[in-house]
Parts: sequence; structure tokens; C-alpha cells
Amino acid sequence: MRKVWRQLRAQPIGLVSIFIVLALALVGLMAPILAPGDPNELGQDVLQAPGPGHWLGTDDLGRDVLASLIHGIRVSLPVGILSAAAALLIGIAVGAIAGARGGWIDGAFMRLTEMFQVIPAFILAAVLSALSGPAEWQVIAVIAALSWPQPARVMRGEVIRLRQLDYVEAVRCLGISERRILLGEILPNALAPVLAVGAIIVGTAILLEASLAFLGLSNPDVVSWGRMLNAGQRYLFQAWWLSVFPGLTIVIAVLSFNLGGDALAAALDPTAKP
Amino acid sequence: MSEPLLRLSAIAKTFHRGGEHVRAVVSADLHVDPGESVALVGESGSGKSTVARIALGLMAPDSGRVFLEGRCLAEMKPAVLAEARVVMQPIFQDPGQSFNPRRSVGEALAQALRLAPQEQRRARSIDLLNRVGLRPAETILARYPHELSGGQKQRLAVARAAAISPKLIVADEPLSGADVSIRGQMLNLLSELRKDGVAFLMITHDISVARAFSDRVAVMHRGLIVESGPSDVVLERPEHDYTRRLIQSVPKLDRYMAS
Amino acid sequence: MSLLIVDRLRLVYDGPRGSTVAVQEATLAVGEGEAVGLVGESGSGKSSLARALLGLLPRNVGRIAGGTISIAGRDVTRLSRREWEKLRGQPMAMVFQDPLSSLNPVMRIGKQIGESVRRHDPGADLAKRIEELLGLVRLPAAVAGAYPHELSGGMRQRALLAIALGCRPAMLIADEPTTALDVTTQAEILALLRELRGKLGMALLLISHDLGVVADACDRVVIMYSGRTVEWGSTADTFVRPGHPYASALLAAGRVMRNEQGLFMTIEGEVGSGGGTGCPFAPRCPQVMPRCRSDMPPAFAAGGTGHEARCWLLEGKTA
Repeated sequence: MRKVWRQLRAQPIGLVSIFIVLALALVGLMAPILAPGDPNELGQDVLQAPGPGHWLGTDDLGRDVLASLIHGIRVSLPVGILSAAAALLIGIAVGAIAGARGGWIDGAFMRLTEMFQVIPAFILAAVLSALSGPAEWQVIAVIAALSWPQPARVMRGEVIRLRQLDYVEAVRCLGISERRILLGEILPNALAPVLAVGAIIVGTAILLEASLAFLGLSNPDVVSWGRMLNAGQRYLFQAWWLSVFPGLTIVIAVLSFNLGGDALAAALDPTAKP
Repeated sequence: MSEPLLRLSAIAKTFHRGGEHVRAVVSADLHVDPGESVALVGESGSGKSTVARIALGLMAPDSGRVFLEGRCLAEMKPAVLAEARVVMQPIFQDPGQSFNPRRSVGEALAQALRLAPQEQRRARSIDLLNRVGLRPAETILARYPHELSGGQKQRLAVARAAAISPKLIVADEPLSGADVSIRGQMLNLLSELRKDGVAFLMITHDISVARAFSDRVAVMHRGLIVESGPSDVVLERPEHDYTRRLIQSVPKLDRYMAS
Repeated sequence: MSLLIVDRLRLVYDGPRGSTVAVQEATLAVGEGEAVGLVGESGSGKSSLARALLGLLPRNVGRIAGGTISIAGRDVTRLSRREWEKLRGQPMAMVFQDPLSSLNPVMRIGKQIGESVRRHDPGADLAKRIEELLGLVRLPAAVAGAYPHELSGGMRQRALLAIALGCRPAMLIADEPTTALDVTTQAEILALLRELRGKLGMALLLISHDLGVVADACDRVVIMYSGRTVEWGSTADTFVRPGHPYASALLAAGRVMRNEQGLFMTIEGEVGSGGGTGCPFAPRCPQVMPRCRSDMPPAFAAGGTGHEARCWLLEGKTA
């Protein structure tokens, strides 16, 4: 554990990214306390530029941008993390089985993932969302359904690579069952690259959710970064703060997940020099 | 005549790589008697490593059968195979790949000692480490494979192979990668095990090592065993053309020895 | 005339955590037409030395920290990169251990040989020279049209030799040229080297960990241990009556000999990290004396002509 920490310290950018992610999560959790006011509170000061009182400005209905952003965390982050978690769970299971079993199971699996890669994810997401409705969990399900092939392929590749390594063969000769070998020798060593992919999926999920919201396909009563972009586009030139701040927040969040995920995966490598 | 420990009967194996068929093993018959040391000598592409993997039950042959203590490996159900195969342990060529990077030395040895009672494992691990010259044993138990040198890892590989008290060790080029001046260290370690009655099937490209370490030698060329017999006979009075060519190709250090 | 003289060379690698001395002190010479073998194991420094001889030390990391290298009478110790480029190929050319990584994978063999010829012989008839060179290394002319991956290991090494010979070098430096090859292919390449030397009068510096290869191909041998040249002489003298305990042990191990107890002869322990004032072999030497640990011995006569070893055991002994 200490070693992982030391490894992370050696990657300043990654470490900062992880802090940003944790900070975002914390702020999101404490949103009711931290946010300067209720984001849904309609106010007098309409389309106010950033300044004292409303640090990031207000929108056309007088709603405080900063408050909206903070409350928006409570949508974007859970959607991102839950989608990624679901995609990872499905992907790891499918990939491990395909990699370990080979044969026709593996073949079928490969065809399935190729199908998914051919479909433009965003369009499918938009269509499904339009059909199923704008509820959060539906968005999560759609993103998970579209994203699982990626970690699955990485997992499968790792399992195939690892299962013919000498050390796995040596353990086989000790009479240990294939199942225990998969769980004990292969999986732990296969996880790091899969986790890195998971972090990327969080970023992609956040973007996807924001895009769906931007197109008006998500729940209009819920404050989300994508919604803010949607509202802001009409006033792009008069009230730049309505687009710039949500946009910036999305970029920072996605980047932080990506870089943080990479750094974590690298830090988990047991052979890295301390 | 008693049953050999290991018997390979008419083994054949072809690999299919991107449309091409490579006949790694055309037909091989091989046996190792209890306590015996047999060398399988060949150059690259001879099929010797494939034979090793098939012997260890890690690869299924396309045809032919492998008998371990008289029982055919292919006919065993997985549970039966798991129990039967422990009498035969491997040592691989590349010590860098031979260990799970996430398991400490202690964990790796404990795994190898899985048939021993839990309480005894630590003591027996320390004993094994001492036997292979990895000292101080207590400290090394906590180390991870990447913290050991190549030579140390190869010694650990011997320790792991010996842990479960096997009757046969199949060693695939155990000396390659080690400097010539310290090869003797590994050979002496393996000789110790021989003294305890462990049989050996050693795969090597090095004729001098084969001659020094084994009772019998089999020479493999392009998937076929072209000659086999007692080491001094085959290597001193070879009958097959290829064996002759192989022996003659070895640069003669001895030409400088006083005759 | 000495084609190559290395005098008390010291090579250092600078890393983020400090400097490592790859070669503490190396001295050797190769005369016209001579074949010298440089023998060493891990940590001996022989590969770094080989690189330095052609100005191929990794820039900004490896440097010459002492001593001199002279090629054909010219001091090349402090040459710049550009000056090295002009110098390489003539009088010295080099072949490496792994022909596959030394050959351009996307260029046909003939073209690669042609490049070498054109560089050092601009006016030559390329096609004719390529054919000549392929014949010299006993490769069929058709190989000129092949790509490296289409050839076997032995053929690639021959191709590398052809490229090296395209420069008409006075001396060839071969760094572990047969290590990656099977023993039967190795024998063919060694025979080829012998033939080339005979035909072209070319000198050879063959670097190897394999004593047998050196015994086969070289008239003289220089043995390195932990960054120092510790024994040198004719192969016959050195291999029959080695002066240095490391050389004796190395030879015994190479012959897979057993001692009186039936144990395989070997050297215990591993190569140290060097440094210190005494003999680097002292920690592992079966005949070590107290003096060995504190003082590095100078060279003493060890028997044959030009045969010397740096070992206190030889002090005061006449041949």
C-alpha cells in the first residue's frame, strides 16, 4: 500500500488528477451545504456576469451558475462512475470467460464486440434515450451497454497473454485447478490495464451524459452540466459564462479521470521500481 | 522390467500459424526411468521444447500418448490429473517469467507446498531456500521476484520444483542465460537433487552439459529423435550424420588441452 | 602496424542516480591481419568497450573518462559525432549479435549492401560489387532481392558481414556474432570468418563470452573481468596455462569439468559492482591473499610471449 502511494507521488500530474476527482466527489457530496444558494431558485439578477455575489454569473432565469455546477456534480459523477462500474463488471466477466475458454465462445464474443464497435455509440445512445426516456438510470444502462466491449477486449487480451506464461504453467503443474489459476494468478495481473480503461469510460460516460443532456434528451428538471450547456447556447455571445464554465468543468473532470486512472494503473504495477 | 516414470509414445504435434503448418514434432518416443537423468539435445526448431511441454502435460499432442507412472495423461479426468501430475515438476528457461510478480517468494513456495500441512510450510520454505543457497532465508521469503537477480530467481525455480518432492524434474534449458563461470552452481544444485533420487529430463542445446549431467541422451532434429542411447556412447561414437555434425560443430576448447 | 590501440581506457555511464563505471581500465591492441578475441561475461564491460571503439557509446549517457583509443595511429578518444561518421567503415567495421535488429527490415539486402559500398567507394560498379560481396560470404546472388525476415539467422549474419565488408575495412569488430545462432550455424560462420580473413587479410576483434568460439577463431585473447583486462596472450598459451585464477576457473567451467569431490567446477557468488582499490576478483578467488583485496596487481609475465596476467600469484615467477 505504501509502495503504491510512493509510486503515485512520482507521477505529479496523475496525483493532482486523483485529488481533483476526490475533491469533486467531496464537493458534490456536500453540495447542499457548499453551494451558494439553491440552483433552482429563480432570481432577480438575470444574465449577470461573474462577480461578487454570483462568482460565476447567473443564467437567463437568475439561477446561480456556481450552484448549478456544484449540484451538477451529483448527476455527472454518479452517472459516470456507475456506468463505468457496470461496464467493467460485465466486461471483466465476459472477457475473462472468452479469454479462458477460447474456442467458439471466444469467436462469438469477438463478433459481438466488433458489432458494437461498428455502431456509432452516440447515435445509439441518443436513439435509446429518446425511446426509453430521460431517467438517469436509463442513461447509465445505455452507456454501460455501449461501453462494456472495451474493457472486455482488454481483459480477454490480458487473459490470453497471461495464461501461457511460464509462471502460470508452473502453477498448473502443481495440480491447482484452472478456476483457481484464473482467479489467483491471472486476474490480479490482468486488472491494471482494465482499470485504466475503466477510468477512460468514466470520462466518456460523463461526456455522453452531457451530450445527451445538451440535446435535450435528459430529464429537464435535473440540474446537469449538459443541461447548462443546452441552456447556454442561446446566449453564447451575450453570456459567455453560461457555456464556458460548464464546458471547462466537463473538460477538467474528464481529464482528471483519464490521467488519474493511468497513474493508478501504473502505480499498481508490482514490478515498478520503488 | 519396471515401468518407466515417464513414457512418451509416438508423440506428434503440428502448429498452425497464420495459414502455415509447422510440424514441430513429427514422431518422438522417449522414456525416463526412476532416478535416471536423460538429456534431450537439439538446436532451435528441433521440437525439443514442444516435447517438454507435452511431457509435462501442458500441451496435448496431436497423436501419441504420454504415460506418467504407467497412466495415460490424456485419459485422466481433470481432478485425477491434478493429483497425479505433481510427481513431475518443471524448471523453465527464463527465470524472469517463472514467477507471479504479485506473489512474494514466501507465497510462491507456500503454493508449491500446498500438500504439506499449513504449520509446516514456513519452516520447510526456509529449509528449501537454504538448500538452494538463497540466504538469509527469512529475509528472502518476504521479497518479490523482481527484487531478485536472474541467478537467484533460477535457484528459486529449483526450490519450487523440489518443494513438492517430485520424482521427476523436466528442465527446459535451465542454464541458458547464466554465465558460463556460474553454470556449475546450478548444475551442482541439480546434482544434489539427483542424489536424492529425483529423475531428470533435461532439454538443452549444449552437448557438454548433456554429457556431463545425463546417463542417456536423445538427439532431436527437425521433429524427430535421430539417435538415442547412453551419453558417452552417443556423444563419443555417434552413428547418425546429424549427431556427428552437431558434435563436430562445437568449437573445440579441448584442442588446447595437453594431450 | 597496430590498427587499434586501447590504452588504460575508462568508461563511465552517467545516470539520474549517479555514475556507473562500465570499464575501469582496459588495455588491448590489434595489429594488421591479427585476430584477437575479447572474452568477458556479465559485468565485464566488454560490450561497452566494443561500442566505444566505434564511437557508439550512447550520447549524453556514456563517456570516456580516461585513457585513449587510437585507430591506425590516430587518437580518436575525443572525436565528435561528425568526425566519427567519417571514420566508421574504414578502417573498422562492425557486426552485432542480433542481425535481425541490425538490418533494415523494409529494405532489400542488396540495397543495404549497396548503401555500404556507395558510402566508401562512390564510383564503384554497385551491381558487380554486391554480387562479389554476396559471393564472398557464400550467399546465393538471389539473396540480394530478399528482405531480412525472409532469411534464416545464419543467412542474416552473412548478410551483415557482406554489408560490413562493403566498406573494405582493415579490421572487423564482431560483437557476439554467433551467440544467437545454433551451434551448427555458428560453425559455418566461424569458418566463413576464417576464410575471409585469409582472402582479405582483414584483422578481427571478436568479442564473446564463449571461450570455444574465441579458441576457434582467434590467435590472441584478452580476458576481461568486472571492467578490467586481467589477462592476455596467445590463445594457445592462455588456454593451456592460464595465469589468472579467473581464467582458470572460466576454462574449467567451459569444459564442464568436475573437481575431486565430483562437483562441477564453478565460481561461487556473482560479479560484484567493481570499485575499490584491490583486485575485483578477490571476493570470489579461491586463491585470494590479503594483498589482493587492497592492491590491484600490475601485469606480470605469465609464461608465453606476450602472455601476461594481473595477479599477485605471478609475482616473482619466471616463465
